Parts: sequence; structure tokens; C-alpha cells
Amino acid sequence: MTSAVIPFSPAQVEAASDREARIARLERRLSRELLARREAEAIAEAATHRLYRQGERMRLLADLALEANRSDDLDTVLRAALRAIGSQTGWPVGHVQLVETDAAAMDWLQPTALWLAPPDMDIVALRRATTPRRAQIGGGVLGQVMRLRGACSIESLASCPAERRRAASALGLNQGVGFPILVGDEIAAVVEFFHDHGRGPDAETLAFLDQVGAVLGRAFERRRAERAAQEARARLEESLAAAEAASRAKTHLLAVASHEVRTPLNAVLGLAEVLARSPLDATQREHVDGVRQAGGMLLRLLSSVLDFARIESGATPLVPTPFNLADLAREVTGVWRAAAGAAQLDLQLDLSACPDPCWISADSGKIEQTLTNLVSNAIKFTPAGGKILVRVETTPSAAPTFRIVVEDSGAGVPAEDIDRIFDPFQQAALGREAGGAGLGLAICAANLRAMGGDIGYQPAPERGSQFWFSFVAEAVDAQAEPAPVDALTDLPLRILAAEDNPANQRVLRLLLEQVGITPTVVEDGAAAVEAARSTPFDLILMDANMPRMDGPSAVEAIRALGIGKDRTPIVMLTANVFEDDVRRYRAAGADGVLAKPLAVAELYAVLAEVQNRVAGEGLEPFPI
Amino acid sequence: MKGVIFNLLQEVVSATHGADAWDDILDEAGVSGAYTSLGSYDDEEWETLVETASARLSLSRGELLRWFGQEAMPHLARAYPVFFEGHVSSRSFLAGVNDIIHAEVHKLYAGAACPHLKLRAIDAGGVAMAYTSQRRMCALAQGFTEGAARQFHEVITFEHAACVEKGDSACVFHIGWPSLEAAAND
Repeated sequence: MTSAVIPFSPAQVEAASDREARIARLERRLSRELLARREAEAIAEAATHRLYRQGERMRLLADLALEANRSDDLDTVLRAALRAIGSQTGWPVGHVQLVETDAAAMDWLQPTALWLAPPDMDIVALRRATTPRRAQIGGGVLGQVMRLRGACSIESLASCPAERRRAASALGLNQGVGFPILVGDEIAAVVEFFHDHGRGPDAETLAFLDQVGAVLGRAFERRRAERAAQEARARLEESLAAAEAASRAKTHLLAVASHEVRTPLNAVLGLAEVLARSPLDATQREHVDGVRQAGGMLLRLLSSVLDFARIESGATPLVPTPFNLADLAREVTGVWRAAAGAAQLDLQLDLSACPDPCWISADSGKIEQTLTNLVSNAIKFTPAGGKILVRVETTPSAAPTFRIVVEDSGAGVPAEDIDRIFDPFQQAALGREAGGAGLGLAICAANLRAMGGDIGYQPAPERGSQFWFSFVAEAVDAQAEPAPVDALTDLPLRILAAEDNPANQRVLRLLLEQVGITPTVVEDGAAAVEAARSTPFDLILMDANMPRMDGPSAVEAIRALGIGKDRTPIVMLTANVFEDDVRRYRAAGADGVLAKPLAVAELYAVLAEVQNRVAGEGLEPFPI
Repeated sequence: MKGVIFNLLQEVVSATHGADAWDDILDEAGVSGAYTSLGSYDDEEWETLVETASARLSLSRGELLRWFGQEAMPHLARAYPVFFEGHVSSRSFLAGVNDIIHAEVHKLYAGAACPHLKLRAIDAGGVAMAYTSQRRMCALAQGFTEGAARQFHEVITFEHAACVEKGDSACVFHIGWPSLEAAAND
């Protein structure tokens, strides 16, 4: 059997070569697809890596921004930046240098204590080689950053100062990167890094470092703003202290001036008082009354200035005493009725909404002063033919609220003035015309503040003004009325008076002689101490300002003597009656204070008290 | 040139003339032929491909590009349906190419250099479209426009009013929608 060899037909041969060609074509196609896939994968991986890096950088920027906003300490923020950049880039050593301008307007790069370095790397030599240098001069990465005002890197440290280069090289660090911290256009600091990575940072990294520089710049800006605010605050406090010192000086000046004015006024009023008590014909009496009235007015004016000085110095002490409010209202309206009549005004007092008598414990002086100011204003500002009504109202309770209203039929307060009438020196137009000091209502307001009360204004229901003030006061039992001082005659009291001013000596002598007392008068504190040592007295009246030894020192010295079974009462007789002064007198051992110019009734009240004590009727301690 | 355009040309040529035709063009052009939509390739490589394809399909460069644009539109609609959603006419679709589609292209393909299209309404509902591109492919823009019209089953008029190929400083197309105009006039 012969095997038949069937040769390939040409078609079959062709088909085989077609198949090979087909396979080759498909293989090429496949290899193209593979290539394309690998390329796509490489692109995707690079994009993913880039995204990750960008995410990390965003996170770093956000963290730094947060740290910059949260931390009060700039160094903490800068340290965080060094650490974060170092860990993200792998640059091992970093440092922050501040740019400082000297007196000659030269910028200097000042090394700081802010360094980044691995714990096992000894950078002492590098730190030592890092010294202050002129900012715009020199090479290295610092010089380049200062010149380019942006992040940059150097492939070699060849342009660095030799000592720094050697110190860095010894650590295996031969490349540098730096970026500026910008505050506006100004470079506030430069951050530098050393590394040995071969390839420097790409443009994207440098742009990122510039962003970090901008974020850190905000922290610098904030610190500068805080420092500026601190300086402004310090300046403000300085101004405030200066203003307060000026205010104290003014108060002191007022105190001195008040003393200077009160001393001669004391003599004038005292002598007029003595004169008034002597036999006089009608004309003489009229003249003396004129002197007393004008002197009284001067005294009130002086008091109002002094009151205001006290308000300014914040010293408006509250002195509660028991008194009959109804009487007080009657007295004030009574005093002003004549003036109201002269101005053709009808001044009425309405006590229908207040118990009579109405004994309360409050600062009667403040209430009287306030009511007096309001009534006197009403008289001043109400045209002839008008009406003024003073009304006292209360709500009955253990600590009742009292409200005193002064209503007039005048023009009322213009709307534009209402908000400031209780401020010092804020005169309404009418007040200026009337020539006031602009203190009256401010003093009233201060009085009520001190009492924890309130004061206000509202237009009267029909026409005119309604000024009111209200305060809470404790109701007390009825008090015995003080004995009329005129009843005092021939008191057998031994009185020592220390007074250096001859006119005042004379006034005192005359007033005391009128009640049968011949005082021992000495001219200074030392003489008073001497007299008190050698002679027993029932009362010592002591001036404050005297030559050789002043009043308070003399009181101390007398108290130190420890004379008498019961200590001799000492009453200061002085024009210096500010709260501080009174405290000083009490501390020295004084029992009371009589203000100059002397109110005769007050002096006689003290004498009556001492007389009672001497007569054994009252062994109570002397009231202060 | 972005790889996505190379891929699109491959799809159009393969769909119309078969995958072998594309292989042959690649072989004749002597290019690598491995294109990924994410990659970027030299403009020269693109031009070589266009030139080879033109010769192979017996078309001029302009004719090839116009044909490619017309035929590419259904492929684009399949790959990026979102770009076509919400449009009922090629007129509004074209109006959004510059600001919406090219903006999206930039998001997907970093560094893409898209042509700039500036549209201006002209009389009778038509638009004048100024085409600016460093690649001088106004014919492709025409093809895309015509392909878009076809995609929306519309007939348009397309006049290449000015062309850089003819020495004009820029290419300007006047495009009209007779059916829309007729509907508006009724």
C-alpha cells in the first residue's frame, strides 16, 4: 500500500499564511493594548500619588492654619511647621531665622532657638556656625530666598558661609531649601532646611512651601497685632493713670482752696453771728443779716464745688441718721417760700401721701441737698405767676420706698437736653442763662446713686416739669428733739481750743463767751499737748492745720498721755472735711468734727452734749 | 493631543472600515498605536495618523476630519451620555460645549488644550460660532456640529464663513436650523 501524499492545495497554502498573518496582526494588536493598559495604569498611579500628596499638603496647611489661630505662642506654631514639613519631605534638619531691622534700617537674619533635627543627630556645630548676618548679602539658600522673595532650593552648599557649609557637610547634608514667611510684602522670617536627597524639590513643592509661608505669615501678623494692642492698652492705662493723677491733683487743689476760703469765711460768718447776737438798731441788724445771708450763699456755693470734688474722687460717704422726713420737707419748702414769693410763685407742700411725722433712718443731708436743688431749680425756671408743688409719697412697709416729686408749671426741659441733664457740667440752655455751675442735678444724681435710689425727669401732665427722686429707707421710732441751743447759758465747761488763726481765735472766743465759757486758747498742736498735760479739760477743740504740730498729731499725742478717768472728748475744728481727712482725724483719736465756717448751732449742740456728760446725765461715749 | 481623541478615531475607523484597516493605518503611519484615554500624545503623531488615514480612505485631510467628527458623535453619546442629557436640540447642545463639556474635559484630562468656541446668536435663530484652536481642525468642528445635529435628528445649514485655511484670521461658522426657524415662524 502506498501512502498517498496529498499535497496542500494553493488555497490551503494561502489560508495558512493568512492565519499566520492574522495571528501576527492580533498579537500586535494585543501588545498595543497591553502597552496602552500599562501606560494607563502608570498615569492612574501617578495621579493617585499626586492626589495623596496634595491631600497631605492640604492637611498640613489646614493643621498649621488651625495651630496659627489657636496658639498664642508663635514659637509653637513655627515648631509645628518645622516638624510637619520635615516629616512630609524627609528633610532632616530645619531652622527658622527672623528678619530684624536695625537702627540703620538694615535687615538682619537673626538665628533663633527653633531647630528641627533627629534626636540622634548632633547639630551643635551647625548651630554654632549659624550667626546673625545681613539679610540681603551673601549666598546660600537664605540669600537666595531674600533676593527671590519666594521658596527656592540649592543643589550644593558651595555658596554658603564656609563654617556653616562645613558643619552641614559633616552631618552629610549638602543641599538646602528655604522659603520666606511673608507679612504683606515684608519678609518677617526665613525657614531653611538641609538635606541630601540628590534631587531638589519640584516646582509644586516649592509652591506649597510658599503657601506654608503665607499661613505662617498670618501667625506673625496676629502676634504683631496683639503686641500693638498691648502697647495701645499700656498707653491707654498710662493716660488713664495720668488723668486720674490730674483728677486727684484737682481734688487736692479744691481741698486746699476750700480750706483757704473757709478759714476767712469762718471769721466773717462767726463775727457776723456774734454781731447779730449783740444789741443792734434796725439798720445795723439789716446790714448784719445781709452779711450773714451773702456769707451763707458763699458757703453753699463752696459746698457745692466741694460736693462735686467728692463725687469726682468717688468719695460720697453715706451718713444715715434718724430724722423726720415730713419736717425736712417742711423746712426746705419753708426756707424757699420767701424766694418763691419774691418770684411771684406759689410753692406748696403736699404731705397727704406720707405719714406725719415720718421718722426714717437715711442720709438726711443728701436728701435735703437733693430736694433743695430741685426746689431751687423749679423757682429759677418757673415764670412769675406759676406754681411749684412738692409732694412726698410713700408705700407703707418695714423698708418703705419714698418718692419726692417737685412739679412746676414752667417750660419743661427741651427734648434734646433730657438725656444729659443729670451729667456734670451739662447745662441746658436755660441753666446757662441762669448762670449756674451745671453741677446741681449731677450732685443730686450722685447722692441718689450713693443711697441706692433713683432720680428722674418727666414732663408734667399738663405743662412744666416733674423731677422726682426715690429711695428706700428704714422706718425708725420717733426721736427726741434736740434741746434748743439758745437755752444754753453759763456753762461751767473747761475748754481748750487750739487755733492758729487770730480771727478764728476771736470768733471762737466770742461764741463761747456768749454761753459763759472762757476757753484756753493755744496757737498750735504742741502748745495744746502741753496744756492738756498740765490742765484737765472737759472738751478740746482742735484745728487741723497749725504750725509746729498739726491737729491730728496733737490728738495722737494727747491720747498717748492717757489723761483723765474718761478720756477728754476732742472735736476737730477744721475746713478740711473730705472723707479722707475725717478718717485721718478719727484714726488719730478725735471724737468728732465741726466744719469751718462754724455753724453756731452745731457748736452749741456739742457743748450741750459735753455739759450733759459732765453733769453725769449721760455717761454714753461721746458720739462721733 | 489627548489619548481620548486617538481612541475615538480608532473606534470610528474600526466601526466603519474594520479593525484591520486601523491596524494598517497604524503600521503605515509607523506609530506605536498604544493609546490610553488618560495619556497625552504629540500633535505630530496625530497629524501623521490623520494623513495616513486620509490616504488610505482616499479623502483630503479636511474631508477625513469632517467625516470623523460626524461619525464620532454616536460613540461620544454612548461614552458620555451625561453631556447629551437635558438637550432637545443640537442648538442648546452646541451652546454648552465650551462652558460645560470642555470644563468637564479639563477636570478629567489635566492639561487638555480644548479649542475655544464663541457663539453669538444671529438673525433667524441661527448662531455664529467662532472657532479658535492652535491645531487648525475646523473641519473636525464642522463634523462634530453636523454629527450633533444628526444625533438630535435635525437638519442644519453650515456655512464656513471665514477660515484660517483660506487666510482668514479666525474660523467662523454660520449655523442654521431651518426646521426650528420654520417652527418659530408658524
